Amino acid sequence: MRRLLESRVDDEDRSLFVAGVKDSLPLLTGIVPFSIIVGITGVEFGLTAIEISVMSALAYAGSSQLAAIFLMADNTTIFLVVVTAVLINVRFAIYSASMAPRFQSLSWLKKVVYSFLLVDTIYALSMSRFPERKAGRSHWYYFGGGLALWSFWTLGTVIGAGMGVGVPESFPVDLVLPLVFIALLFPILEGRPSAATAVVAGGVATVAAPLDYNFGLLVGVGCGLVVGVSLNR
Amino acid sequence: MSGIATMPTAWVWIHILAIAVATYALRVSFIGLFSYYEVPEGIKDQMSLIPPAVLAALAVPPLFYRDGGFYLSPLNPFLIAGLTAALVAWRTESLIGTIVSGFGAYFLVTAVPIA
Repeated sequence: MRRLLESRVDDEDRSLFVAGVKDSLPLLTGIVPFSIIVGITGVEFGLTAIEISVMSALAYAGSSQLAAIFLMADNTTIFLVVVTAVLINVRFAIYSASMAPRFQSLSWLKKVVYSFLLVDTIYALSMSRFPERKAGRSHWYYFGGGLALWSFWTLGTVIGAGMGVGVPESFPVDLVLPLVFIALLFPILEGRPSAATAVVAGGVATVAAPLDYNFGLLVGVGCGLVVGVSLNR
Repeated sequence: MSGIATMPTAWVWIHILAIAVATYALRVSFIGLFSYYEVPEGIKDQMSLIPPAVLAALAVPPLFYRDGGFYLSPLNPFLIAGLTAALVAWRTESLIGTIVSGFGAYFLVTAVPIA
């Protein structure tokens, strides 16, 4: 009975939830265009509007979704599609470790839902805003922001999927993905080791591009990491 | 190139679910399972190299290798588009700006008959 009372939502919880929603709104200018691009690209490469929208809603990780679309369109193996998604998204495990102590005392249902909402943006938001929020309740802030970001992400893909249908035949769709990957790459380069990693990974993957099933991708990533890690010491 | 249109629908859904489950497993890993474990800073540093490696390995090959052959000419429109986009991405870090400038360069090169 006491546990039930404790988990009841009161006004303070609600205002923290709303604060999370509000703080997430400025981030939408970055998220929604990306999400729209994911929707357009998915449809252009042969997914149905429903497939790409559900993919956005469930996988909720744009870069890995685009990588998956790229690899699926190139008739590669499901193994490589999943490995690539895991590599791109492995940072979520670090975020998970970092959030775990704050979610320690919550119910398993909250842990299940909050884990699902964990992405770069809500993580960054919580990292900078959590400490000033009230202890034991600050997770409502995470929930508000996380839910808003997920909703707009999914909505953006639905809109993009609708727009994708109108793209003319002559448009060079094959160019979309390399350009998006370039746009996503530069902001995460910080310092010489990561730049060297990217140069080697890109160069080796190109030379190894004729390998079957896009395995050149893994060869490139492996070589890039060897160089990056050795520089990072 | 698009092999997705010819893929059986069920197989497409299996891909979608596989990506979703794998990604969720990463998210729930520490929150749901071992809450007390603290990832050492050194490992975090090394792991932060993985996304740049994957994104570069995805971005670069299509600029040079298309339809089963290498295309190394300096007038290769994909290469020019990619280099323009890289410059804009580096200077502005703008997603839309990068894509628009890349396509702009592509259409410019393909519209103007050089050589």
